[in-house]
Amino acid sequence: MMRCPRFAALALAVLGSALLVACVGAPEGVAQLSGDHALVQRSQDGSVEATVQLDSARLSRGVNDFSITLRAADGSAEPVLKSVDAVMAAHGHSASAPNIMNDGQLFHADLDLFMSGRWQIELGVELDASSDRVEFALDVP
Amino acid sequence: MNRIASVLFAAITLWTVHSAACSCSGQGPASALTRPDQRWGLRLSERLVLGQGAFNAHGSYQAFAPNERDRSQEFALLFAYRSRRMELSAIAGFGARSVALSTSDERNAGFADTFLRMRYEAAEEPSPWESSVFPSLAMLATLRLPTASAEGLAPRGLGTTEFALGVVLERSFGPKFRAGLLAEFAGRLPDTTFGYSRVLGPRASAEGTLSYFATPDLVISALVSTRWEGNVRVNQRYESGTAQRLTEVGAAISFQPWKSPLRAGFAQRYTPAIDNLSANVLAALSSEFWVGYVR
Repeated sequence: MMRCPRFAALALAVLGSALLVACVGAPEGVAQLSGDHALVQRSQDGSVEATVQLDSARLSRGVNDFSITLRAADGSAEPVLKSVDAVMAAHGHSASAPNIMNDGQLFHADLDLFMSGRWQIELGVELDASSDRVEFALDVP
Repeated sequence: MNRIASVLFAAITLWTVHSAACSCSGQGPASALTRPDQRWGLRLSERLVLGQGAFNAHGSYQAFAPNERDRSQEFALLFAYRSRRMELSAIAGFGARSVALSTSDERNAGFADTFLRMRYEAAEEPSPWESSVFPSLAMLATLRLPTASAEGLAPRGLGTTEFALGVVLERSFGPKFRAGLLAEFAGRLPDTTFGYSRVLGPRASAEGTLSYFATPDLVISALVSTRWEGNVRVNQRYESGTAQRLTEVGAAISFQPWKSPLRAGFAQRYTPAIDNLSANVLAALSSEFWVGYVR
């Protein structure tokens, strides 16, 4: 009867250690985007600067409306927003804005971030004949 | 020093002992289908997964809205072949997953990921009259091949190849009880399933089972398991907050008579909807029913 507590203790220790090791950190390096706080982000090649504004007060799971302003870094031409895509690499999910509407240099897109967690957002932009992309990450609560 | 030497000597002795090992607990995913006196076996299983909600990266649980769902149904065929202490097995499956979240809705049907597994029973536990505390030891090596679709709203596979190594320790406590502990570590190969370079984080799993032999042929088990996966790397950059943690509890009942080639069982697993127990995962209730035939 002495064996049972020993083995149970070993099993509990291993399981407890596994739970302890199984720490999952909160996302870092994600954009702090809210109705009061816009995100300003430079494109990968540096040709465009995007200002992303959330139309609602807070980011939430589900459909989120974004207002996006694009400005060419050298002021030479007017950039155009071509796509708004999101991927969740851990689970293999992806989402795209079905429609992008514009009012001059202000673009509107709605994106269904259907699952909580870290989404990598990519804005596809065109400037003259070249294309570029603006990337940032969002933590959907 | 003497104590360490004794432990080492006992471990080596157990490692090389050659007597008929008993793989009759048959409860968890790491158990063998066949006994040492059998040559091969087949097992057909049906698994139903009903999503209840999801945990976010901060470990907060959020139940699905009434119009949301995440349901899977998988049929799997396992073929096992035994050569002495080693059992080689392959699992192929087919199924469907239906997901509706927010305004998105998708159904995905097709082949499941394919598993190839080697289980080697390295040491059996000592006989009741021997005064040793060591449990039985089995070693596992598993290869998961990405034969299922892994994209979209309802992915059904991993999207990459996974190599896993594990150990199973089992120990009987009297004629009625048996406890088991599985520990497994897995690594994943880089993939470009989504058009960019991705490396899924490593996985570590542990599962504890306690089985009660209601009769020599009928076993009832309780289990608790935890699984952790590290952060995903995309384009050589770690994405913090993508690690996952899953904690499940469950129970199983299996009928495995010594004199009949037939086997049957039912297992139920549940992810408790308690904040911080899990993170970045689906919380689900899963049921699995299986029938088997061994020779």
